Amino acid sequence: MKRVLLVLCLVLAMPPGAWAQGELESESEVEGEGEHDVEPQPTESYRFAWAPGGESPRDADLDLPPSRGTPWAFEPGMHVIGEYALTVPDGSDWFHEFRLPRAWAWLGFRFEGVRGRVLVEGAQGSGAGSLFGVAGDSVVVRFREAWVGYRAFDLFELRAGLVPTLTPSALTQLWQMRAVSQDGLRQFDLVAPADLGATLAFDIPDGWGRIAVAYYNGDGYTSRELNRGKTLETFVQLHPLRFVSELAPLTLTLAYQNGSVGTGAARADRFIGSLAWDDPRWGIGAQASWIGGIADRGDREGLLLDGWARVEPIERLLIAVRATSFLRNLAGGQDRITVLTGAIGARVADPLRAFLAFDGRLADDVAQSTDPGTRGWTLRVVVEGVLAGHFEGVVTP
Amino acid sequence: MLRSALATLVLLCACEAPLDARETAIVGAMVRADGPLIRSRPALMAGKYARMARFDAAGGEGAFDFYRGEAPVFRADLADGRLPIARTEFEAAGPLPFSFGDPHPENFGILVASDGTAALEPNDLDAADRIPYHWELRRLTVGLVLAARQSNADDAAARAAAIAAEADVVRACVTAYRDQTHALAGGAALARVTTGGGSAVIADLFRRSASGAGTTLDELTTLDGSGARHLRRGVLDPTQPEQVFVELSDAARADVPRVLEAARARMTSPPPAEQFTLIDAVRELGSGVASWPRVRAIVLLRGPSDASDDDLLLELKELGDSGAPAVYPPFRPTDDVAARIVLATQTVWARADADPFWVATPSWLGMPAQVRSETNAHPTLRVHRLHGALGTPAALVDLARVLGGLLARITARGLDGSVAPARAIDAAIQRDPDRFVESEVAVAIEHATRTEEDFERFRSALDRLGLDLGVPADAADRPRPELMDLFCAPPTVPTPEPYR
Repeated sequence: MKRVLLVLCLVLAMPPGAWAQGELESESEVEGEGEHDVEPQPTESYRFAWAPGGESPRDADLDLPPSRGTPWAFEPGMHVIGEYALTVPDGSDWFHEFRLPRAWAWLGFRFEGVRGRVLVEGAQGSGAGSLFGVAGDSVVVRFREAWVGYRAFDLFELRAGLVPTLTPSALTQLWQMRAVSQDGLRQFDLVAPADLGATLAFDIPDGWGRIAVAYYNGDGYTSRELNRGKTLETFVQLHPLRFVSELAPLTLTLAYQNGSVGTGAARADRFIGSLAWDDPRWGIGAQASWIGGIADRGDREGLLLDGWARVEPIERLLIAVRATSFLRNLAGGQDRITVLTGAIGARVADPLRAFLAFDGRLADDVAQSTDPGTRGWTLRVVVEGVLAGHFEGVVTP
Repeated sequence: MLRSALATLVLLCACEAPLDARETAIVGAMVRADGPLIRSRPALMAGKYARMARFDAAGGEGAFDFYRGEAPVFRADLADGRLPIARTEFEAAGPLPFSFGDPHPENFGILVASDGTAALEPNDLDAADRIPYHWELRRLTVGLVLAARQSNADDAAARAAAIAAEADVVRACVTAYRDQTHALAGGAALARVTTGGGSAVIADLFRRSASGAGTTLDELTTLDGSGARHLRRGVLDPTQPEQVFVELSDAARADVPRVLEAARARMTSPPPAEQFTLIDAVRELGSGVASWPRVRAIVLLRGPSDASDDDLLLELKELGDSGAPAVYPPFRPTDDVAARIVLATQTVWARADADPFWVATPSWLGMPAQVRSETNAHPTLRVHRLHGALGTPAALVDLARVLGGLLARITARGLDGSVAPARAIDAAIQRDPDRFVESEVAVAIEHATRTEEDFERFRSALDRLGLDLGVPADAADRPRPELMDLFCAPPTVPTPEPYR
């Protein structure tokens, strides 16, 4: 008869600093435990927190202490961002509304190296493409992730199904302020955050970073595949100065996506480079993205520039700024949209953050012609909650 | 087997061969807009695309029919800052007008109001929404250039003269738009167009409206031996074999009385319920271009008395989303399609009962639907009629002038019914009124030429990808049996000539 040991970890969305501390504590304890012949050690020191933000739930990198048993875990969670927004477009009437930028619920499973996750999200919509009719423009539930995978040697991880794409998740997790603003690539809908396909990642030992490759349909998780061309994404994220512990937060990200969309297989290529400092208490980053193919027009090329900074100057006080500028026609012409965002907020409780955010939107003349509502500003009051649990145990012979 | 596996592997790894970028953009815009319909009713969508691609060697409407169906491409071009059609120096600040979304010339016609008076009005509100004025104006001016180029199908010299005058045609339209907007911003009344206004084409429409009032029943119905009236079945006009009346599915027919009662209750002056007693109903196939795949039915109702000569004909049509891009908050004017159409009848027309039977209802077998009069008293402006005295440069210029003035009235009003949009548009135009006109002339002619080239590219794409534009077929997309019965397969699809 098998004996089951349960470790119940109620997870609070601890501050990023606490998350890092918790992880380090875990590592040190593991190192101190010796090799493989110890009994399972259920302990609350393995509590884990999900840092808010990201285009996918942060993966929990914890393992139980070495044991003779088979570890398993399941991880339920939810992430909700709600906001009140007062929008004042240039030259038009002001408008205010409550919004739901994010409503996520997920459940992850692990059994030895096998892992998987299902994540559903709320989405506004009852358009012509809806799978089933919904009166009005209701918030409906749809799948954002549904994948199963295998992690081997604690180095390689393969996922297949409806998977989070590599780059948006990584860049937004550096920013950590999804509630304040999306990453520029997502703001302008230049990459899909999830798609049907597979990813293979290699985690460089000792925390040097990750190398990954992915193969997707390319039309994103909200569309059906429309052509035989598939999208190939290659991704590298490194901490190049990891050998000096004080400089370990420096993070270099490079990604290239070669893809196509639509039945006409319009080009959708992206080259993305980012350099960021990713300290739990503060961060700063810059990224540049070359965009080949915009909105089904494969011959249209653009350049996206993104800069951001976040800091927690005193405990629980959060400040973030972001500037995103999208030059939508590299061939010339005044076709640029720039979004400036500033926010001040507080961690009201560990799983709950609140922000007062301001967005200013600027547009060149051509951009204002094509997108007349662009110029203006928005004031937002944002509330974000992340509640996640980690329930784990060991099946022993 | 190994060779086959290797070949498959190579195919999987290879990207599609590079295509003409503009052709890809056209296909992308159409599939993005029509994808769900292509999957759920492929035969009807094939009919639409074939109609758009039809080229009449004798000088038919060719690129104009394409233009009627390519609104998604037009909207995508408006978002592509590289193209002249997307750029303007005369962008208007202020609230957006609530316009009808697709003001090409064949979306205008005569409507007879409840008091029997006729007026020129938009007669297609499917795409009505809040839209920047210059998008609406350009949709009209490009359409007028294409109309001039497709006019006088049987007279090369007359067509050449019309084409030579195309800049004057656009200039007349834009000047009238500019001047009428200025007048409306200054407090002029929002008047109906109840006469030809000096346009032979519009005067012809009014004549046809007056003479056609009593002819609809004879054309669309027959009397049986007992004197009872029934709708015809089959091809109505041998010159238009794809336009047919067929049996309406049982489920759809069973729902018609409920839909009509809901529509009657929403009318400004509802007729007595007994007038709406259903006598007969047929499914209409092959009508329109953009709305070719939409479900349409013609219903025959009792009318004011039991006599067969005052029976009433209505069209019942499925509606869809407007397709208009969201620009300013609130990004949608209404929460549902039917409410949007009702709003359009109150805002786009000079009077809400321009067609007293025109009203939208939320559900016909789950689809938003619209009821309107089916009568020859409501003739539509047709490009193929622009020949002879109606196709001269002067006639085209006069037509453009009337349509430009009418569009100014339509874009003058916003959601709240005020003329604040007219004041904002006027302020933008008055920065340089003459340059406004000339810049619009240049844009319209350039984009009309692009549209003609797109017509050939679209034919090429159909030849290469098929009438489903390459959308992969999936049996899981087949609708329920009762919907399959309702959609029907058209007996004849106007097959386009292969593009070579």
